[in-house]
Amino acid sequence: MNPRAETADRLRAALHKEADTVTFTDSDQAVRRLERTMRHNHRRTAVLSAVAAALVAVLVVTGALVLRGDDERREVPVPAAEPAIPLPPPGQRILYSSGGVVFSLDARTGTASELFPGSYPRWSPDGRAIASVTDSGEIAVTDVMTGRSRTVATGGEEPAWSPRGDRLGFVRGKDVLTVDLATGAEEKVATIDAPYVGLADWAPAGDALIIKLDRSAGGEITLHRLPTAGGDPVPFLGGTGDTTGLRFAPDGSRVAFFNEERSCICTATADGSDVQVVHAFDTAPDTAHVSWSPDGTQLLWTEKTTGDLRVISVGTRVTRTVAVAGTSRLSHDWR
Amino acid sequence: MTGRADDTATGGVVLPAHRDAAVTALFHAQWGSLVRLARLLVDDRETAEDVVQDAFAQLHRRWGSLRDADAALFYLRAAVANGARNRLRSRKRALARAPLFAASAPAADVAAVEREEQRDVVAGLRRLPWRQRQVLVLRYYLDLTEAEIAATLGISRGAVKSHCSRGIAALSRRLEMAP
Repeated sequence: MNPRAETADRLRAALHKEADTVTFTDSDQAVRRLERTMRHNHRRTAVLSAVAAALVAVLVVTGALVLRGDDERREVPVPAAEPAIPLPPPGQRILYSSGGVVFSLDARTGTASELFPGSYPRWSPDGRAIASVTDSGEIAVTDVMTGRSRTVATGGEEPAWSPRGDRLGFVRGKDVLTVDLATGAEEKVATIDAPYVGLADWAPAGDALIIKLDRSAGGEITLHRLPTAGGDPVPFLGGTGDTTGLRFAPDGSRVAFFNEERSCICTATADGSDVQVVHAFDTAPDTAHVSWSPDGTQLLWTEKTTGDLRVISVGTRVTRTVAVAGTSRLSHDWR
Repeated sequence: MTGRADDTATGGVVLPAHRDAAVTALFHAQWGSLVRLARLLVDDRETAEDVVQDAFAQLHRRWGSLRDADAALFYLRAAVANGARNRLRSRKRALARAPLFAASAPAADVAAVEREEQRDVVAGLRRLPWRQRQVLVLRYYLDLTEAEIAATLGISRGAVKSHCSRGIAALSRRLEMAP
């Protein structure tokens, strides 16, 4: 028998035998602890509701004024006509995937709408289309005005738009590729000999892709800059260990990313220097995604243990919860 | 969230409409299996039970945002897998040298040999990097598919494949080296 298959069989058998030996508190006894927790949750909810009610009057007056000014500042060019799929107002359009379905979510109200099956949703630079990965592993592009989707590549993951919106980068196994959206022609940028290869983003100048590589024996992911014209990947952000979720800011001046060693959401200049901690975690963040707000003033991330979508102001470091989750929101984008 | 009449994912439990009653019913149905899962990821029973209690407390707070009963079990598994990781991180140094499982009482014959084999395999698993261990437990104990593991842990299917492949390879090497 193949040694790996033999190990897998031994592991399966050992895990089930080990689990059979596990003893635990009787569920009737344990449930009393849960009941205390549930009572605590109810009291907490009641107190928070009372406090929230007391603040509503103030927020209605001051918040409305602030948000109105905010809306004007956040306006971005979008199609004038109504989209065919349910989307929040421009500037508030968060996309996320959960359980193999792409949703839109209003950044201001937290209201979500189911859009279509898929994962890894990414807005096109002009906000007119959404790239995603179908259940069967195809890269698809959905026109928001017509709601129609078309397959642009088969067998890929983690699409990223070129800055001009005319190409998509993606990963297929160990290959990093791009596809021309007008002609459908694929171009292989590189084949990377690493156990895990992922694509984070397309550099704003259009000349490179930022890829995620795991060349270690311990699941440590590092970022590299891969020229689209060909060439070897070069460590990005100093090749610091376990860095994921990188995205360029809308104006291309900075990047945001998760770093496990620093336990942070950090930003840096586009060349990877001037690293700044925007949000420090009590426990190290897991592999996840981070998205910029369209005006580049806020960052969106997913709390991995709860699935909550949270936003932090890059300038003030003030955080807020956009939406609580029951299932994990794997990837997202904001426009 | 509504209950379902025949739901194997929730242990065949018909979930009541009321939140507390539904969470309690789910607790009775899943407590044992989730503690076993947590116990394979952490190193003692108390921590495993704490992780599962925390998962149910989170589930209770977020009950209204769950779409269905399947989502509840998915949520619980993800909360246990990630909660176990957070517990271990907070005392990483201590765990690095901690005994993996309490030693079983010595026994003779075939049973002792099997227990030794089981202990070697699980000890080898425990020495793998956390993510590889997490993926292998979900794959070979819960028999989740790559897609289900990816969704539970919030990583890509490619990453699941990578961790699983390297985990099995590393475990094979460790078992070969075991006396």
